Amino acid sequence: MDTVAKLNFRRKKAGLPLIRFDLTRLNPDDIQDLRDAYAAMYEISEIAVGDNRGYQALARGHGYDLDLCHDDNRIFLTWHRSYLYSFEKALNTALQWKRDDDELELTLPFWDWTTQKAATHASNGLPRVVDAPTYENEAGDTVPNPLASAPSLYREISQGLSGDERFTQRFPSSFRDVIPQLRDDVERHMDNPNYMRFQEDFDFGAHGTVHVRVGGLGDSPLPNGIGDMMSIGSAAYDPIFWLHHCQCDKVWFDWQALHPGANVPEFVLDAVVYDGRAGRDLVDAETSLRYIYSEDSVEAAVAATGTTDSAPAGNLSAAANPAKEIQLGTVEGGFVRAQLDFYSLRPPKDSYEIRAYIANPNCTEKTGYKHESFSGRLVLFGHGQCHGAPGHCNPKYYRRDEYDIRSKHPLRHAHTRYTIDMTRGIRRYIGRKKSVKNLKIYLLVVDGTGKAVSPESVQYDGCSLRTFAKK
Amino acid sequence: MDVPVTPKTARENVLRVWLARVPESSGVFYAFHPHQDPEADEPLGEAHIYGRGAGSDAMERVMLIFHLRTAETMPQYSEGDTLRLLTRNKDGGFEDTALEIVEVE
Repeated sequence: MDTVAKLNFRRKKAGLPLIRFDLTRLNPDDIQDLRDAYAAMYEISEIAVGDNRGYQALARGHGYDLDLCHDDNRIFLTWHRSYLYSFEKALNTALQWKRDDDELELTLPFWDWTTQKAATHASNGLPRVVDAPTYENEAGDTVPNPLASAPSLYREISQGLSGDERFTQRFPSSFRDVIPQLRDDVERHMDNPNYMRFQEDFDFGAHGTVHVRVGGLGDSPLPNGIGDMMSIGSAAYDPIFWLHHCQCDKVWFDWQALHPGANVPEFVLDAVVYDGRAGRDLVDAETSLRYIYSEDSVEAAVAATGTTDSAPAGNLSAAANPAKEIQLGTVEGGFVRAQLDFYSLRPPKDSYEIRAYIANPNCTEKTGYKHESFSGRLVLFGHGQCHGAPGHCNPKYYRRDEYDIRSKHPLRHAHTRYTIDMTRGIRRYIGRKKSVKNLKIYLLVVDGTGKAVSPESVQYDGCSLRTFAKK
Repeated sequence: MDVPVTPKTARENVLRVWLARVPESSGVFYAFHPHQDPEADEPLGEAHIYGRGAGSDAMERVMLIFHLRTAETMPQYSEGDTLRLLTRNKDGGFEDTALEIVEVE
């Protein structure tokens, strides 16, 4: 049976929108994926708190200490849709990293807080999979449940808490009582045809009620004894925050289906929200963000998706060409420019110089620039040591496509062209001949001290010579 | 704190009270008819406020939304009446509250 992450990867390959499912309809393997993905995000932040793939980096954007969420209630829906999207992609990136499997597309499930069932919910009204403080893993060990509690930067830095007090808490003793009211609220919201009125009533109605009732009051070291969900500054550190907001996003998604002609004000469309996305790029989630919601089981969605995935995903980061010798074949003269293009060259941590020599297999760092075989060089200004957790600087985990429109990897290897201008060197080598056959060049990698190092110090998928003819 | 019953509230049975700024603390507000005894009677409605939290500079304006009960057993209200907004104190009883209200719908 496919997991949600595998199913969605197949859907992506087939060009279909990804599906967000009901939390309480997920299979055990999906719950495990979700737990592992959250745990991986925590791990990334524990290793390097500033790593933007980590849990703390995402959670702090809501309230503490960035306060990005609550500066304008008019963009409540678009802001949170964008925020949730970024979190969902980070969650998948973390799972890919942990499993070392890039054929996963994990989506966030929604927590439908309008229902409670004995089979899936705890007596307090919360789904058991997020309420239970521990669970039994595959090895049979009882371990902390990553969906029940998370370390919080707000608690640690703003409140000066440490040890167990770093972790989020909930006191949902009065939550179950409001479930019928939440159901009634959502039905009422659905009937409201006006976008702004729908948004306001929902924001300050059902949405806020869940925060207040799930957070609750109890034996908490936070001011006034609140649970983390109860205030904007601390809420996003609670793992349930994201599942709650996924439901909020679904309510809007469903409302949009009921009111397809609803007018969204221009300032909502123009307003730039979390991660730099404009409101107009968030309104149509299926088209712009490539996801939909389903209340069906995962099995039903698998059946509906069919088997369109026969071709496995292509590996975009093919093995680097280790060859120091580059065979360029026949090169004709008469060009106005000749350049050696590197494909997907990974920006290195340290600074290097790549020197190109023609037909000189014995070149060393002492050969220098004045030797007749020298034909050009490329200087790479290193970006320094990685300050993130493992994988932070690996562009493999930062692939972007129409299913992931987060900002590009800062080391944009796929979009930066690295070339060596070899015009003079090859002209000199060709001389008066019309062309040369089997042209070989030798790339020497030199470090910052001028010493030749392994060609593997600089990684790239390949390189080729490009010549430009006279117009 | 007293708030007026607007024509819209009387018509739709929904009381919307806009506050100038999201308060620091979260909580639940209760709306009572002046003839009701808060300690004995069911409130006309409740509204949840999701506070900004200690240390936050958030300036967002927020709304208290009360879906008012209309059962026959509940007191009737009409345009021009006032309703009392109360919160619970630490002992579980009701107490008055001061709010910076900018608009009542």
